[in-house]
Amino acid sequence: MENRVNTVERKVQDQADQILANASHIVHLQAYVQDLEKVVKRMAKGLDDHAAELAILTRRSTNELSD
Amino acid sequence: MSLATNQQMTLLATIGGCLFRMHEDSMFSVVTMKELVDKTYLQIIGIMKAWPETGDLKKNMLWMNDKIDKWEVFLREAGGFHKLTVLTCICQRGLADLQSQLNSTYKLRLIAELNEPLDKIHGFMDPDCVNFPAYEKADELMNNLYELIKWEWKK
Repeated sequence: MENRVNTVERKVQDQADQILANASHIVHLQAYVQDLEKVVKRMAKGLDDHAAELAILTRRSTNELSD
Repeated sequence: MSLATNQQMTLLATIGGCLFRMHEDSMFSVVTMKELVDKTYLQIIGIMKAWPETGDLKKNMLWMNDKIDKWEVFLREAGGFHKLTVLTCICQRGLADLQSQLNSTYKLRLIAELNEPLDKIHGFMDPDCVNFPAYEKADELMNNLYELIKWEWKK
């Protein structure tokens, strides 16, 4: 009887461990995808024309000021 | 992650970045094209997620971000990139170059799903593929990116 209880307990513990491992894998994956999206959006920001114009204007006015 | 994987991920991020730009600036007014751009963007993120990764992820991200920042400086100087046809040419060139250099069947299978949507997006803008200035601009920008990421043509 005691042996059977121990076996069931061990199985439950194994399943709990497995669920925790899966959950942490999912959290890790979510963080990874967020990081990837950040990289892609950074690339998109680089391809942003308005930001480019702003950078040129800022540079121009800085140059004018230094002249 | 190996250098090659970082380079491949940067190319995928470039395609994704172009698609996100199209989405953000509502470059397409036709609803079906808007939807296609959004769907393809999500596909790219899915592909990047499934791309085999190794090594220190933070380091890899830093590597990519560094190259993106350097490319941004070049883009600012070169200008003329913010045109829909140029962006579609960048996407197509990036995908074609990736496909021409990859050996892994798994990776090739992953990116194969991008052929159709990217062809459609480009075909909508330049159905006869005659917008040579757009190709030239995309080539100029991509060649600089390849220099930055030290892309090697092995085949």
